[in-house]
Amino acid sequence: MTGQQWDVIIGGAGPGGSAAAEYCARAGLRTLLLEKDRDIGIPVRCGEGVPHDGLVEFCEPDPRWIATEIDSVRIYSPDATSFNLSMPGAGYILDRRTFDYYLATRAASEGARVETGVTISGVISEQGCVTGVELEQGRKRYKLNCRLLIAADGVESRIARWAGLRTFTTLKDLDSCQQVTLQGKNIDSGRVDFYFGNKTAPGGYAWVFPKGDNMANVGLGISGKASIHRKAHLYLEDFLQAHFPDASILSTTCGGIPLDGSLKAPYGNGIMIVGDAAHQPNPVTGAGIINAMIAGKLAAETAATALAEDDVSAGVLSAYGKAWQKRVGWEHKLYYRVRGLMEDLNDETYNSVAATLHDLPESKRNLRKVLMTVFRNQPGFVLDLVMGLFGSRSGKE
Amino acid sequence: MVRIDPTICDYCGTCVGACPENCIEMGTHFIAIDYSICTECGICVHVCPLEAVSEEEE
Repeated sequence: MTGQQWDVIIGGAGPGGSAAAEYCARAGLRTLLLEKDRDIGIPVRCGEGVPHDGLVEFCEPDPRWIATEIDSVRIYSPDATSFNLSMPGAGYILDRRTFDYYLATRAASEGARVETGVTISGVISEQGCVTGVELEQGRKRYKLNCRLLIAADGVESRIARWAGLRTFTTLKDLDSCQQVTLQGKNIDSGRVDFYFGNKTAPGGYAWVFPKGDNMANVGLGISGKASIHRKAHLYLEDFLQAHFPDASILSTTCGGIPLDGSLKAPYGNGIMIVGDAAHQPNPVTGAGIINAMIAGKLAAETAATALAEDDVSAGVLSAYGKAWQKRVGWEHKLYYRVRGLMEDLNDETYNSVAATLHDLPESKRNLRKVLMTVFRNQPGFVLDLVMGLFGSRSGKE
Repeated sequence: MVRIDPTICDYCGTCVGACPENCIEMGTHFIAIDYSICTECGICVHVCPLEAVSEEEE
C-alpha cells in the first residue's frame, strides 16, 4: 500500500465508497479503498431497504445478501388506522453485512486495493488542493499521496472538513434514529410498515422492515429539533412496548441521517464527497444506499475525466456536482420542501388521510385523494405545498 | 462542559456530523471532544439518539 502511487484514495467502504472504487478501478485508475472498521459492513447502521429499480442498475439481486422481497407497504396513522399499498416487485430488505462485503469484493475484482482497519486522520493539501491523506493503522502513523481523494465517510464525515469544506449537518436537517433487529411473531415477510404521528416519531416515522423468519428491523427517526426534548431511544422503547412487547432483541443500533437533500457543492480542489457524507439520502424517506452508489459511480466518471486531463481543480470536479444534480439532486430539492411541510401536518390530518384511504378500494388510492383529504383538514397546507413545490422559497424550518 | 459517556455511546457519529466546530474525534471504539475548540453549543447533546452526551456544570 505504501510506496505505491495512487490515483484515487477513497475513505469509507460503504456502498458509496465501494461503488466509487469499483468504477474508478474499472476506468483503469490506481484505486485504494480504505475502511476504518476492521470489518466491512459491520456495524450495520441502516434499515436495509432498497428499491428494485435502483439496485439493478448496479447488480443483479442475489439471495446471498437479500433477506426478503417486498411486495406491499402498510401505512399507519397516529390513531392506528392503516391502509395497504400493493407494490409487487418494489424492492428488497438487504443483509448489509454481506451486501457491503460483496460490493467491496466487486471493487477488488476490478483491481481496486481494499484495506480495513485504516483510519484517515487528516488531509494533506498543497496550495489549496488536496494531495494526500494522513493515516492511522494500529500503532502506525503514515502518509499517502493521491491525485484525487473521495470522501465516503458517512454522516460522521470529517475528511471533507479537513479539506476546508463546510459539510456539517444543521440540527434541523439531521434525523436522530435508533433501531433494533428483533425476533417477534407473525411478521409478514413481504410487507414493510410505516408509522406516522407526533407521539410515535415527531418529524419522522417508525418502520418495520421484515428480514424473514419473523425477524425485522424495527426503528424510528425523529427530527433533530424533536430530539432536543426527548431522545430517539425513548420513543423506540415506547414503540416496542406497544407493538412488540414480547420480542427478543437481537441487536441495537443508532445513527443520524442528513436530510437536507445534498451539499450544494460536493467537491473541492482535489476532493469529491459521496453518500451520507455529501448529505445525499432522500430527505423524506432517509433512503441512502442507492443514492450513494449513484454518486460513487458519477464521481468515478468525473475522476477518470479529471485525471486524464491532469486537472483536479474544483472547476473540473464540478462536473460531478452537475451530474448529481441532473440525476438525483433536483428531485431531492422537491423532497426537501415536502419534508419541511410534512413537519407541519398534525396528527388529525394524518388520521383523516388514513381513514379516507382505508375506506377506498386500493385501485382508487392516489395522491389526489390524499391531497383532497389534507385540504379538508388543513386547507393552508395544500397552498403551502403548492408554493413549496413551485414557488421560490425553500422548505420551512 | 460537554461530556460523552463511553459506556453509553454507540460510536454512531451523529454528533460528529452535527458538530459545527468539527471538534469531536471518533474511532471504532473511541470518541473524544477537543475542548480547545468546543464552544459548548450543545448541538451534540441534542442530536445524540441515546443520551450519551450531556452538559455538566464545571
